[in-house]
Amino acid sequence: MGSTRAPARAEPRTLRDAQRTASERGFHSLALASAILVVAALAGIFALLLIGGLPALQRFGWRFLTATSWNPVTGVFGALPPIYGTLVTSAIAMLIGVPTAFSIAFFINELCPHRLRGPLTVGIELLAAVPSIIYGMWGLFILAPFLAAHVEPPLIDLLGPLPLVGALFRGAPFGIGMLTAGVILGIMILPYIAAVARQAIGDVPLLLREAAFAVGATRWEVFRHVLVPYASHGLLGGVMLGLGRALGETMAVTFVIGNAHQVARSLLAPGTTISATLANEFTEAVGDIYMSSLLALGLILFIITFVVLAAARLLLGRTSPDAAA
Amino acid sequence: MPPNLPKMTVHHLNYFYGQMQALKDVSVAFQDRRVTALIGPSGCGKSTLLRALNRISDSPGQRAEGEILLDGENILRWKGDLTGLRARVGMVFQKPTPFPMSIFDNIAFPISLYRRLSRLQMEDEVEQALRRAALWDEVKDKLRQSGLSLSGGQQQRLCIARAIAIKPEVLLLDEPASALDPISTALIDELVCELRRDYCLIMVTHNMQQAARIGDYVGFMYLGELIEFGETVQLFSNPREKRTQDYITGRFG
Repeated sequence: MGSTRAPARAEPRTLRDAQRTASERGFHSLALASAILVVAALAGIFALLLIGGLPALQRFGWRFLTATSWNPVTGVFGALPPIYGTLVTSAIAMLIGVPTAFSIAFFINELCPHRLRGPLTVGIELLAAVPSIIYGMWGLFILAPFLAAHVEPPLIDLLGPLPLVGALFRGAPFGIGMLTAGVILGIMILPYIAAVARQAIGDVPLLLREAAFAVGATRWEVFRHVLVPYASHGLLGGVMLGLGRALGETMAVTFVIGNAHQVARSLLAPGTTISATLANEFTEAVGDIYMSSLLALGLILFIITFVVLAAARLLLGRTSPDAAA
Repeated sequence: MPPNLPKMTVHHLNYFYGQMQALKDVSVAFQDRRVTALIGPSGCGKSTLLRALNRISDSPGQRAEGEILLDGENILRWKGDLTGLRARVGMVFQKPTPFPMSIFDNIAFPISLYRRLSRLQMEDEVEQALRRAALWDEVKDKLRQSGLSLSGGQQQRLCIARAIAIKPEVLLLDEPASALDPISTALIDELVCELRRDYCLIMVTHNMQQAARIGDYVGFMYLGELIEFGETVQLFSNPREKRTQDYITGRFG
């Protein structure tokens, strides 16, 4: 290490430095290229959908968003039924998935005996690993008949006669329809939300938790007033992850929604979603305007998802617990 | 100082974490309207003793034998909800723990757990608690801001205000100044002396000067045992036990 040896080592060190500089530059470029690739892919998909969908959007204008007819024979297409179906099924999914997932996260973190914690966590993660086609088959063969026989009739009897909400629960109990699709979606997004929520709640400092118990709060009060606000960032992230999945999920929905291009007020009626329509009709889309309409549908789904994510970002910025610090 | 009735009494307390015995046959009485300081080296059991007093560390694998009496009632056999116990035995922790809500709500939330108050009454209660914690003047213009926006010392006084807002009878302080700078520490000390008029205060501290300054009674703990307990002046000037003598003169620990 003596300074006397420095001159002798001067040249190799310079070489080594050059190598290091080169590898540093290479690493920089690689990282930059990867980042650009992602943005480029995103822009490319958007451009493709836009260009492909443009003829339909030009032909039908804004009416594309509000028209309900979907007629390949006459070549008149309106996107309202799939948009409606997508939003309704996702809403049902969120209504089912979010409270359940939060409860699971709370149970695992706060109530669960230590020995059960591991298996339960793994079980929920496995739920996320089930392929969506399996959910679709299960939905078609088990869930739909079950709902048709045991859940939808009482819903029709109890809620159907009510004013306003009653309209959502009228009609025949087919088992195939938006309600079933929403239930399936709710189960499918459950593990994603639960996993993120479990992590978020688990990250709340133990001392803060104890402090809340120390003022005499019950478990529920601690959860509601301290854990959830503290973890709101992560919880909302989980919710948005689930919503993003529910909006785009294709296979399971296609199995159970009935694929009917209609805007039905009743949740029990068949409907369709954007992704279900795309999956069903791409192969049989004859004619430019048909194909263009499908691509325009894809563009709409892309935009909806994008808006949801952007809204989530905005909300997260506002509710962050340490935003004020 | 005139003798006083003990507010909390611990009889032959043995405390276990699984197989490990953290407290060995501890018996001690905590006087009302006095400050009792618990000192001793890390791991001596002083925090365990403190945390047993409102059963905040109640979880499977932990076991307590003996008696802990609050006004004669054994809290180890507490019937029903522990929230009722914690309303009477409040606690302030090593680090400030403001809840993720506004300064106002940090105080109002615990109050609202026990009492339904009108808006005006609540504002009154919050102001009183903040005044008692010597924080009112610093925060009165920003009650809507997050509790996390305060400095560390202010946050700790906010936590004290929060603890006394629900009018407990006993206040447990677990090294309340250990994360604070000297000025904030002095403020907390002053506050503790002030609160002595109304509460039974029990404080764990690593800081012997703090114990000597504000403690009326001091208990020295070592390896899970209460080695010596007495009035502060007596214990610091004339300890009966060799180990106490060694500890307070800095020979070990």
